[in-house]
Amino acid sequence: MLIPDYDPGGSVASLPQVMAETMRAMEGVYTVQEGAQFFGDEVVLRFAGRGLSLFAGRGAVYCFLDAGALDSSLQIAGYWRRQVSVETGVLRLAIDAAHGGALLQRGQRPRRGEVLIDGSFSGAGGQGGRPVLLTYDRPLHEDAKPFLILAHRAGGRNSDRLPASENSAELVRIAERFGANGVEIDVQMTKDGVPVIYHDEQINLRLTQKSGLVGSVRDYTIAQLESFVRLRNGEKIPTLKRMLATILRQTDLRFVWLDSKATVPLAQLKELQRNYEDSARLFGRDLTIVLGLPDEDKVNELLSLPDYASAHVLCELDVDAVRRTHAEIWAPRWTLGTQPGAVAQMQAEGRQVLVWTLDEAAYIETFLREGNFDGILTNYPALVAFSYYTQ
Amino acid sequence: MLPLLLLIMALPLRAQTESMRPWLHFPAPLGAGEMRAIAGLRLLTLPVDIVEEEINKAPSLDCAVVLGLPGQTGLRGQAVLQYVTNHFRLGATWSQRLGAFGVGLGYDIGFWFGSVDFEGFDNRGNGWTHYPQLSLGYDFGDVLLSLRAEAIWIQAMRSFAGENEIRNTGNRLAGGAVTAVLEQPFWGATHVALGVRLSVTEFHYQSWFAFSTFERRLLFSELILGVLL
Repeated sequence: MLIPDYDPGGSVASLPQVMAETMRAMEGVYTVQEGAQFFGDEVVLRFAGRGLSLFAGRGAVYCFLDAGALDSSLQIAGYWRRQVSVETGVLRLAIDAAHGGALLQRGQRPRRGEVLIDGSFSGAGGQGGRPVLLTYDRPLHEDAKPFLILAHRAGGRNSDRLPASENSAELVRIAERFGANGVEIDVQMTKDGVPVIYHDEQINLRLTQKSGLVGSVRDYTIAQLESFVRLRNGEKIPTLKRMLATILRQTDLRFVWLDSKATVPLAQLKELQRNYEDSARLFGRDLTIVLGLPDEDKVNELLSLPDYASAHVLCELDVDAVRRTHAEIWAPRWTLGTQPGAVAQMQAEGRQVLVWTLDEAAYIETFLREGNFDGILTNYPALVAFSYYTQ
Repeated sequence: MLPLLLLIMALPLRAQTESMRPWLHFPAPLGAGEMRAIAGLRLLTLPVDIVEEEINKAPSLDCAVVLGLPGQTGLRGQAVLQYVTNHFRLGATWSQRLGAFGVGLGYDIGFWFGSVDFEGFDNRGNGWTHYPQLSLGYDFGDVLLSLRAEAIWIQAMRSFAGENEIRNTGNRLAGGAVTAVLEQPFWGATHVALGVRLSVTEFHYQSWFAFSTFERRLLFSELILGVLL
């Protein structure tokens, strides 16, 4: 986990909350007048719940910020993180009443140049402040059809030193702060048949703290895993039910991709999928849960189910497998390119097309501008969010 | 292929160097025309941050030769061969013996290339790397200890996944490495080299297929085992 020693966001969180109208008005693409060497020429400001995030195109920089109202001005503070490296630090910003603070507090959408955000950013200990100056440029880009920014492993990988462990309930709660509106999670089965969220086959030090347990997740019961195993940042391995309940009740995520490993029966996942989609409807939530089919074995397993056509399925194989399985979503790997013909054909058949797992900034730009995909699965949702909203 | 050629050339020369104490890593000058060779294995452990639970041990065949030149200089070649990645180094050395101590300066240029079909991805890559280095050694009698510090300067590297060029970069200091090697008698007239190389670098050629997006230095450790020919 990489966060600064001191997060100044707490000092702002004690101020009166920013109104929802102000939040919507603040969101947008800002030009970086000072600090472009670090942030790049533009940044994106976007709220997820009450938390404000800033995304920059350079080095997958994201900032977790809190915003508060002080008279007619707005105070913003939190921390920044450059995800491709181990750099982090603090960020303090303010919008004076005369420079757009009063306008935003009235909930008025600004025009270009009407909002000026002034402040500084510094290293992890708060030392060596450098100035940053942002001016409002334009609203966030939105397509008529919603674009899916899917965070790999519930938010990202452990190797990226995120604030919570990969595939944890704690990480999925903050996935939207990284710019995601959906997640992919990995499902394994315990010895007593409980689906849990865990990527690797083995209990290992990449994913867990030292526990003394060795071997596969499927060698242990859920009680044993909950008693003895903690993920890298101290969280419990979540059950699939707990993860889906967290997504449903504590996030606004609208898409879940279940990447089921070989030992997980699709029939069991299909049952859970239906239950939680029903619950989502009761909550008034637009939530899609799909079963991933990564290989022919899973395709055959699905086709052996009596009512397989009723499952919401995402197929990673070729278009023939997509049609055979009645998959609603085709998800080719990104190295196959933008495939305009095949993508158009799948969409003409009423399917969505997602691409995985795209982390290279240049290719994210290419796929957004030259491709016609419905979403991107990535370890760097902040980077995809930046590229998407600045289009 | 030059290091392999030098290695083959070294075999018949073994009789000429029989009377001398065998060593290859120790930084001391060889006579002009003298040649030493070593063959063995290297076992690289890749950091879990970039390979996760996929292949994290990379064993390779390791062959090297040193040819003495006038003026306490030498020519050195090395081939580290493996199915997925192959690396060739060619360099020049200068060394000086100071009693039981030896000191050396060297500069190697390396070329690596690799190809692998990994989970359906048709991947390939290649690159040029420079290794300026400083060596120190101590002669304990039967045992020779050598320490070498080297910078890892990437001149150029390219990698591809299918038709997509994933990376095309170069001209940067990626990190550095420290190597410690013991050269000692094993059985009969056979001498062996046992060592470890620790590199802290943004990029190690054997990790090219991971297509890491990280811009940070990671630790790569290598065990070195060789028989002096």
